Amino acid sequence: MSRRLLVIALLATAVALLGMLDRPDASPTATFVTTGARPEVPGPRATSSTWYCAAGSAGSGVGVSHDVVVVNPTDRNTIATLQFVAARDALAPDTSPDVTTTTSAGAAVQKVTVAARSALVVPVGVARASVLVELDHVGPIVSHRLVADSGFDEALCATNPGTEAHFPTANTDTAKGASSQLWLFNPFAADASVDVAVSSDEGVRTPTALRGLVVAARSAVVVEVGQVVQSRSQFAMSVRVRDGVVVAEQSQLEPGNGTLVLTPGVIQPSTRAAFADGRSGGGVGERYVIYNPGRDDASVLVSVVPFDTDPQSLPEKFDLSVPARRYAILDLQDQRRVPVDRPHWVRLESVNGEGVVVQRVATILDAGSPFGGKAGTATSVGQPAMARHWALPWADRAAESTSVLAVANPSTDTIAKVTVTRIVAGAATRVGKSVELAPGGGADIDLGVAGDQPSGLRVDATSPVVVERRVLAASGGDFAVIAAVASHDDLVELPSMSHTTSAELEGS
Amino acid sequence: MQADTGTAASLGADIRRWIGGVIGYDRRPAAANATAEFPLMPSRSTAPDHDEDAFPERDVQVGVGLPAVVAIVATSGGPDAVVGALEGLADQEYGNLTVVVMDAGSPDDPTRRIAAVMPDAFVRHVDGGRSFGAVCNEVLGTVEGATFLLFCHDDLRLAPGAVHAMVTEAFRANAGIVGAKIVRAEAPELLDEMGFGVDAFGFAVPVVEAGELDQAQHDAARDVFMVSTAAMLVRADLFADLGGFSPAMSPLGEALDLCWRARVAGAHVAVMPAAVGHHDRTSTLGDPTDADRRCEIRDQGRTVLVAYGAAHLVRVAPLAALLSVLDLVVSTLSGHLGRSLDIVRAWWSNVLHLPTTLATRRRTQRSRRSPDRDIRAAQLRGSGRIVTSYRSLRASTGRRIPDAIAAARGLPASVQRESTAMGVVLAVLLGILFLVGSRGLIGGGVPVVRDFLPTSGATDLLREWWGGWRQGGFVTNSATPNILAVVALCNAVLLGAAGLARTAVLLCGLPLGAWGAWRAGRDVISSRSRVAVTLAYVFVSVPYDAIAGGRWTTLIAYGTAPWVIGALARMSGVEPFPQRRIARQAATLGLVLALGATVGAAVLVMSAAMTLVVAAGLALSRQLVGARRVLRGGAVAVCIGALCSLPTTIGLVGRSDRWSVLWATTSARRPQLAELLRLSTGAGVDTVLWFAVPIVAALVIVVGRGWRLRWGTILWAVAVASWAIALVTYRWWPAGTRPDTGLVLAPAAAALAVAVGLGMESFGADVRGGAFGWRQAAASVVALIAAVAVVPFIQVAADGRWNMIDGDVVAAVQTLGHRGDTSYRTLWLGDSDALPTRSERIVGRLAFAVTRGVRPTLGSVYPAPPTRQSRHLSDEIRSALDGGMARLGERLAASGVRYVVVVTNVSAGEVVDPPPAVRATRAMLIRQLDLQSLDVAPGIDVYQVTNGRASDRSLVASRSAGVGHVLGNLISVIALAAALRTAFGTKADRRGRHDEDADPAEEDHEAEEVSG
Repeated sequence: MSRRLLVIALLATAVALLGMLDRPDASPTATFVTTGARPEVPGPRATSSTWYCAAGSAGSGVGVSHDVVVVNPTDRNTIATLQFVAARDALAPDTSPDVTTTTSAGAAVQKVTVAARSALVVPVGVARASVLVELDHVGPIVSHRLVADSGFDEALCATNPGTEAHFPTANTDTAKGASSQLWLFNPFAADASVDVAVSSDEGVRTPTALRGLVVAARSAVVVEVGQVVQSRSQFAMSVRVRDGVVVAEQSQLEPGNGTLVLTPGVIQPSTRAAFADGRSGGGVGERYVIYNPGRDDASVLVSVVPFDTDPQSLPEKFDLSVPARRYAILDLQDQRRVPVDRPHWVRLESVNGEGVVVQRVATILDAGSPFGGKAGTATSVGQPAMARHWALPWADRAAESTSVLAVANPSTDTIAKVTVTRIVAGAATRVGKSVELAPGGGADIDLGVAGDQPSGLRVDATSPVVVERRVLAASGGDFAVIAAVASHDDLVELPSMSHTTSAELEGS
Repeated sequence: MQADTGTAASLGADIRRWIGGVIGYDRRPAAANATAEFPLMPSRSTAPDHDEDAFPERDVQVGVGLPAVVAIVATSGGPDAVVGALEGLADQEYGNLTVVVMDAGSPDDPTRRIAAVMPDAFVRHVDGGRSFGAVCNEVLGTVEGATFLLFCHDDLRLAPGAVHAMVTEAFRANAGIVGAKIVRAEAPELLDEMGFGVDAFGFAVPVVEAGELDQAQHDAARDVFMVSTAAMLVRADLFADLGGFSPAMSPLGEALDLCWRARVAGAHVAVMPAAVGHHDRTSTLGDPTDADRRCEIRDQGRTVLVAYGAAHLVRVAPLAALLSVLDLVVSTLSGHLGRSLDIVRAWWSNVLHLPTTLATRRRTQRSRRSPDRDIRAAQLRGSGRIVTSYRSLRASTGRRIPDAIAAARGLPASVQRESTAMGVVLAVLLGILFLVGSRGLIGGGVPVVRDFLPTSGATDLLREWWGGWRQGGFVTNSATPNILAVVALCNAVLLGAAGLARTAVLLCGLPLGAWGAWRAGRDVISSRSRVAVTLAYVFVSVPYDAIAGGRWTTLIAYGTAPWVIGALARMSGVEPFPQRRIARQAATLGLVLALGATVGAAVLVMSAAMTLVVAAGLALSRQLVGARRVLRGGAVAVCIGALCSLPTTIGLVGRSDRWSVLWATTSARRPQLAELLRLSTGAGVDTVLWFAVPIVAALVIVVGRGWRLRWGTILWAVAVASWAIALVTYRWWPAGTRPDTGLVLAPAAAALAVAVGLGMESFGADVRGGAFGWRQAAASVVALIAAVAVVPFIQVAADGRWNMIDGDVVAAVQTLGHRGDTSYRTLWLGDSDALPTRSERIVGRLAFAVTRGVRPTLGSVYPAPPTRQSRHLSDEIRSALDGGMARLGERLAASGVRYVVVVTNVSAGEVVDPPPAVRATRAMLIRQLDLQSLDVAPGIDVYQVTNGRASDRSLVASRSAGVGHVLGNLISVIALAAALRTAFGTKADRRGRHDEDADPAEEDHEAEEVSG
């Protein structure tokens, strides 16, 4: 071989080898980035945390008390600084200054110390006020609750403001006395301007009165939705911010039904969601409102997974198509494929990748319901992610209130061993025995009565799970489902339902 | 003028009186006492074959009726040096000539020898160490009765009749100063000098070209502006009125000054061709040394300041200053750093000696008899410097390599043809192309993008460079890059035109690369092939992608890469390069690398990598000696570059973020092999036509033979290695520690461009003239492809900005504060590749940078090491990103930060989808309770801290220079000076270098080849 040919061959070989290097990488491993769509405990590098409790009342506000619950499951005391920002009525003539109060009024700021491994309930002394809670370290969680004569609800305060907030269900049926209030809280330095779009059976519109609402910096406004959207028993709302950011929350009061519901706005639609607590039939109504705030239709699969059910005999999934900017309702009570004798957990997935917001509405229809109460409605927006460690508030108004912890294991192949610990009065006490959940399994853990002292719960599992606490008022007149909070770094994406389907097929 | 014969009669007595009166020696010109100490002049009795009695004491012979001429021969060279001059004077038949020898510190007393040659000559010993003029000035006020003074060098021998002819011409032309026709002593048929013309700026242009054959073509008496002091006849009264020569000037300066002042006094200056002087140019006193030549520019300036009247001076001085600056720039760019230093020294010296110059000026103006307009009429039009440079370019016809050696090396005949003219034409052409392609940047300024940082005033830059106190970001004392000094110097040279200086410095990689490509094939390939190399290097995408992306390090790597290739090849000594000592080549390369390292030390790493690849290629081709030489030379060059770049290079080694600092900003975009093969990063105009250069470069592999094939293979190996590094680093190296694709492609571009030249050379040597075959066909196809290489270049150049963005982020946020307000800081957040300054990484590609005010500074081209403050700030941002902080503004205010700017794109006004980390950052900032969003420009999120006033005591900090930093700067300056001396040296060094550099063994080898 001549020298020239050798050189040409070597160069050609080198370029060919380079071509092998040039091949695209294998599909990158999808990394789950939490978007802060739900409240979450900041990551370990954070040095403090901030919580925003927007809704400060419900209905006319008469007889409604507002409490902030701070649960400190950590081993050090935490100082919580609460700022109460009284809200003005967005639709009333603007006669008061936008910025109602913050640090200028000494009474509007309150500092409290929450001891290690304990919880504290702070009554909000300012009427119709949103609350900003700043904690000096990471770990404690904050929720707030509204208690009216006819009902109560408790929701986690938000950890992230957003430029959007979606509410799948709202009710302004005045015939039943329903009142829906939209709370917009802007504790930030810049004014915010928002539009509120309403999606109903008749279409999507942005009422003039809800267009270009200004939420001044460091202020809160409340929108009496019924004044704009009158006498509708079901519609969805989307808050879209033109400038700035806000924290949005909805308070819904139906005195006739003895119902008070707090719904934090979901700031980002997700493609997957899981609800740990579920029951349909036997006096309990359960429906899912799936709202698609996006511009494209969503194709959603809903799977009801009864606790302790053989994976091979799961009910057939519900396949729903949700048009853009519309909602779909799945009422499980009407579905025969859902077993009525057993609790279940539910998961959803938008298979075409279009994000949706899902709200579960559970209702106690009669006194013989498995939930034990007489009436009431509770809602939940579910969890878009799962985690191994969760924290929940457990500081019910009445000591006799009873709670059930629902835990589900969305994993397709891993058993989760779940341990529940109660945080109260500086001590951490284990609640019952550890529960072992098979892949896809779930369990209700009876927590019993709340007791006199406010407390918190810590749920630790050996593999990621989703958790909710259902609390029944001592009177039995209302109940609530309270979400849990996980650490930012602990959250992992829910498994795709296609994985589950494959497992099912393999099993069959 | 009337001859004063009465005075002449007493001249001898006057001289005797002067000699005796001054030095107190025996007044006798004869040698009555010469046997004792030879105090005055030697006696003929000292000569062994002469009888002392035969030469009794006698008076100096003076003529009657002839104007008295006193010849002053100044010498310092000892007895032998003056003999020729005296013999010439002794041969003069002029009857009234008296000779005085001024001995200025000769190592041996020349009196005895002078007496032997010319017993009538007078000798005066004066102190040595003075200039020719200062020595000759000794005659002032002491010689009375002389009509003319004839100043002669001791190495000039006048032909018989010369004095007579000069005196005759002085009378005929009524001239105050008359010069002679100076021919070369060793070749009298060659002219050496016949007076000078002088332009308005004092630049002397000889009437005849040195070495011009004397065919009597200049044999007519004529007026000139000045004559040299080699043989200068001056009317004695004029000389006295003028106060003699101006002391402390170079020989040429003395002549220029005297002649100009003579003209101011109303005298003419003429040259008399009938007076012939044979000049040996060996006078240690009269002929200029290298040191004297370096003072010529100074003397020209000083003479201009002295001689012009006020009205003309106001007009001429600014022009002279402008030309001087132009000369400085051209000299620097053309590698004549010695001349550049001379210009700087001239400015410095003339400013320093301004009081003395003004005093001389007052005396000169008092003697004015002739208006400046008459003097201007006698001067050359235009600039003599420019005309001379042009002439020298055209006239340089010397061969570079002896024909026999060239033939033995197999070099083409065309390499023997001088390529300077072609180089000038190419330079002008490329200069025009670059100017046209950069017109938008020159006119509108270069946007602040990535490494293209803004500059400040020369004083601030120099202060930061010398002291090491960082002006931007957090105040810290750390190594500052030498680019600050370079830009400051450019600012000063361009008279404070900071914008133009910035544009010139930022884009200098473009012409530097073209120049390096032109030089890469020097001496071994033909001029046409060198043109091909240069054009091929210009017609690659790398530099334009670098400009479009604001990647200064890549652009400077492009500028230095062909220098590295050329120097490594030369140092190898492998055919066709002669084996020479590598010191000079290594020093030259080291200087180029030092220049590149002022912008980015990455060029040092690039050069080291190229060294390894070239050495490996040579070793594989069994050229082990060459490989060793390349390794040695490359290592030395890199060391020189690193030393000249102290203290940044040593600082780089010790810091934890060394790799990200070394490689500067890098694109996150993964390179594709197809892009790499066409030498494109995909950042600018991306077209398949960029494939033209690599395809043409393959010709040498296809048709080349011998050394062309060998070097072609090595060059292709460099290219393949570059491509491999680009792919491997992006595949396996962590982000932030890998070089930019363009930086890696620069060596490949240089290698392939040189390969193009070798291909063209191969076409001439290995293809042309043969029977038509596949080689001819391949060459034809390649020629067609080569023609399209210009198309993408034109496309890029037509843009006028090399596809650079129009509006930058920094300009967009300028409205935030008053220009120059540095009482606060700005926090920049965004993708590390999008920020308008160097940054520190927070997580992933998210990075932050802090600037004082809203403008980054040039110093951040080499960012300060992370400080406690910056680490704390990074932690705070991380904490906020983790969702744990809602009052980041409060923390930022404690660090003096007033504004937070989130950058999603290098271009302002262009909204792009930011990477996830930046999206998270925006989300984090928007939920801060004490940051207020400001509406500034689309795509830029700006927040103002609302919680308290930005305050930080460190905004006002000590400014004392760090000892280590200053030491590093001093070492770098010393290393630079040493490298400059090694690379360029003095003219004397250069004259002898050819002989010194040649490797004796190689010369023997060449001789054998020639004889064979």
